[in-house]
Amino acid sequence: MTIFDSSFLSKLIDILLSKGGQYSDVYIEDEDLFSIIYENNTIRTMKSGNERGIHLRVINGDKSYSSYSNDLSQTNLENLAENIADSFSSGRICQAINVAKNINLASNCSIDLARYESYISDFSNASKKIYSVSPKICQATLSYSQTFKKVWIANSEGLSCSDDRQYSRYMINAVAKDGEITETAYEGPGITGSKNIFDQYPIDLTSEKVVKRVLSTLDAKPAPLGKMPVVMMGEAGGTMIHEACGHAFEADFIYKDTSIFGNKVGQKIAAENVTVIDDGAISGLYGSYKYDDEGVAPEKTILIENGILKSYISDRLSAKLLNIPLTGNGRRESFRSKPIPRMSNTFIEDHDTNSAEILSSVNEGILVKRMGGGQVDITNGEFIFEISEGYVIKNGKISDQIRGASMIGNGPDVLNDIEMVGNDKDFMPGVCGKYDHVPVSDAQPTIKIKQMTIGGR
Amino acid sequence: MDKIIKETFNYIESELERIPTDNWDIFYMQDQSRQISFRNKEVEDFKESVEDGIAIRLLHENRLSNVFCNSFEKESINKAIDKAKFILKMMPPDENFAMNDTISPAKIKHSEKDWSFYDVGIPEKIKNLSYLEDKIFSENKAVTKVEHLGFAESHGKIFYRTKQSEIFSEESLIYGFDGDVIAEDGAEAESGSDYSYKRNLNDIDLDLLGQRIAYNAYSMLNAKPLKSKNYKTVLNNDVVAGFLSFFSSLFSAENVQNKKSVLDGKIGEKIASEKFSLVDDGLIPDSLGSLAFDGEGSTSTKTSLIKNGELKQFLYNLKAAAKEGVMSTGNGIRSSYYSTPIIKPSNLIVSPGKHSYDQLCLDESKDLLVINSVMGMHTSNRVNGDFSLGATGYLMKNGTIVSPVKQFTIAGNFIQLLCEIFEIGNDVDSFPFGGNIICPSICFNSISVSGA
Repeated sequence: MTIFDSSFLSKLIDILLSKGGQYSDVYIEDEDLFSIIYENNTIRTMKSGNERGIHLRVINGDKSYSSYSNDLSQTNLENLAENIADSFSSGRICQAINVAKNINLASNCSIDLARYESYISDFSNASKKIYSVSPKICQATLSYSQTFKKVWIANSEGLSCSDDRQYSRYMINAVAKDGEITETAYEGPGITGSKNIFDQYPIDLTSEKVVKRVLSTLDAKPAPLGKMPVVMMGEAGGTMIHEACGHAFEADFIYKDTSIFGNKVGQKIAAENVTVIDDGAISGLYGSYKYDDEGVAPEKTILIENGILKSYISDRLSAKLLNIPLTGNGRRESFRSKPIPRMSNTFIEDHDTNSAEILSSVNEGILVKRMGGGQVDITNGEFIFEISEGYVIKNGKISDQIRGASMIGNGPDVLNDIEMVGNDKDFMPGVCGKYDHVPVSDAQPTIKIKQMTIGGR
Repeated sequence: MDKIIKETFNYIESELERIPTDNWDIFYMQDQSRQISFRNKEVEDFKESVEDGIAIRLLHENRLSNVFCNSFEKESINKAIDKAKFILKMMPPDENFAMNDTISPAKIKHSEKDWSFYDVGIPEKIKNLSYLEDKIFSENKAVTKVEHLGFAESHGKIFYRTKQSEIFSEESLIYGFDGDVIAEDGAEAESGSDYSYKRNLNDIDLDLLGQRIAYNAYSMLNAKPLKSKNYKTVLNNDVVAGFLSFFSSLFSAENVQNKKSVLDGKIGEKIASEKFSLVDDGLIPDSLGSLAFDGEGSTSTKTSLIKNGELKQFLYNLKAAAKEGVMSTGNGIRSSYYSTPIIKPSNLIVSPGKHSYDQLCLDESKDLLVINSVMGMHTSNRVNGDFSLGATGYLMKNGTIVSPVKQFTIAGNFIQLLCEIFEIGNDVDSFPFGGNIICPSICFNSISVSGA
């Protein structure tokens, strides 16, 4: 197994800075992965693999130069580093501090396939159960994936550290059909750490949720269209706070002046009862880690406090350029990408109202019990989200279920339009797709939004 | 062939010889790429890479296993093969798992490859980006910021064999520019983007691309909300391509067999307007989606999916084909060494109509909506075709723009939409969205809008 001794790492980091640049770093990753897809009461695919690779980078002012490869031979790495250095003509301007520790690529996180045998029988039982609930259920897909990822980071400031990350996630997806109507529903719990995900999120409970939702949606009615008040329940998930607001706090957008929240620290950008936090240090959540992909420990970062913009989410490059604190949000999907400011676990903090009170305050509107996917334009904050489980609210009470609906709105407007905030926030795992994909989670308590546009069929 | 690749194949073969198998395959992929981001007359980000990896599948007694790795030391390969053996034991048998014994690549007459990846210097490529940036800013004063301007090029190679076959290879080069800019007018800001990817660097028209990137931003300034009602609507060709790419999974035989496509049982039925014909063709010379053989070694073919509105056929990989006792259509496509072959289009082509884009947008009688961008496509329903999307575009009358419009959703069902076709344009372009989508803009009789 490959061992990079500290002198080779120092040499590599030094070559990177030999012809210019103020900062250089090396990121190495070794990942073991296992996945199963279980469909139609049988295993469709089972896959396992190992990937490793290295990413070398130099930062000069606000520019970065990088190279990645899966070939970890010393000759190849020295060549790559020299090629990057050759992009500069200014000559050396910065001296690297020596790295103290060796990096031993002997991976201690290798996958033991035998442990998955019991999961297969659990999936088989759960799958049979789902089909047995109703003849209307025509398809059940269960999938499971586990990733062991070890990363090593060393940089020209003398830092060297490593992080062991273990991700487990499973998903249950059901399709039901009634005459011409076809509906789907899904749940996908995910955790970090060595716990067994099925202990924390029992498979039976998850499949019951999915089955109940897919069958009830079959009988749902088309949504009323137009502008109306919307109540989003805590269990709906925090996709909106991530997509419609969170990205605008990322410091690379702030530096490029393409975010709606640029130059607004200290200003009121949300209703007074709104506090928004990003915290990658909460143990076990899908967006958590010990060090980010630049070797910075994550922390609780208050983005909005009682409606006032407090801070942004940074990586090393943007923190330096904007002269703001490092928040430990420099993240990347793999050795193929450079780190950029990314959210971790992002949420609207609980406030004082209970959810029943919020519901009863609405005369006519929409209740969102479960959010679907969405998309946002960072420049102006315009977004769309699907409502995968929603109801009409009439006189403060839950009325007919709706199907095929989506809501559109504007992130900054919504922050100001949050009239009530509950105390029942609930985290949901997800995958953020800013350039590449990293695991995140998000949450919000039940909130009432003055009005949003409901679209649908 | 690279000596190391040959040796790796030979080593894997010698190891696999010791295991009882009915068949096996080895898929090797190498990708060399370069990405340059440019902003404010300077290179902002420069990235180069060389990467390769290998996937091994074993087929024995109707069981199939799948592993991958990207280090080629014997120890890593042996570890991967051990995992493959273990997975083989855990897999339930399915008589439809299949692999090819022999491989016969299709003969496609591509023109000479463009080796600009190696032959054209990096300063020249940066000069192109600078030219594109100048072009964008010169288009309209309202364009104030470049969010991202990029050049990307890559050179990919694959090598593939099964137990009895020789090693076959494919090689491709691709070049592209993309841009994302912001236009401002007082307090209003709108972003606009566009891109162009081609097999030949010189086929990219930077003037046209610059115009389009700038236009997509400044033309949306002062956009108004749109009234809720049904509109006669033109979807621009890139929006049509987005729909086709997302809903192409409805044509996957595997999805049909698994009751995950609303097109199940509809072969021979009229499902679209007579004006609409859709073909998947992996054999088109010089097209980005063309393949001599797919990720399972099956020969590429041309498959008629919809002809004059009638549903003709679905797309197959080996397993889906075995289930119905038919031939694979050569659509078992691997996007990398770490992904399994799944059914995807190669080149998905809409037969063009006679109308130019301007004629398509001309309607004397009433309001016409032109959609230039949609949001949230991935939230649509891949099984039944339902969609509800955020959209932006232009409200037109008599062929001229009344106003840009935003903050509304369009909703409907993809298959029903195909029945609502009014006219198909002739402004064909190609869009590498997963598969390569080749299509014109299309005008629909009616699309439901929910807005103000």
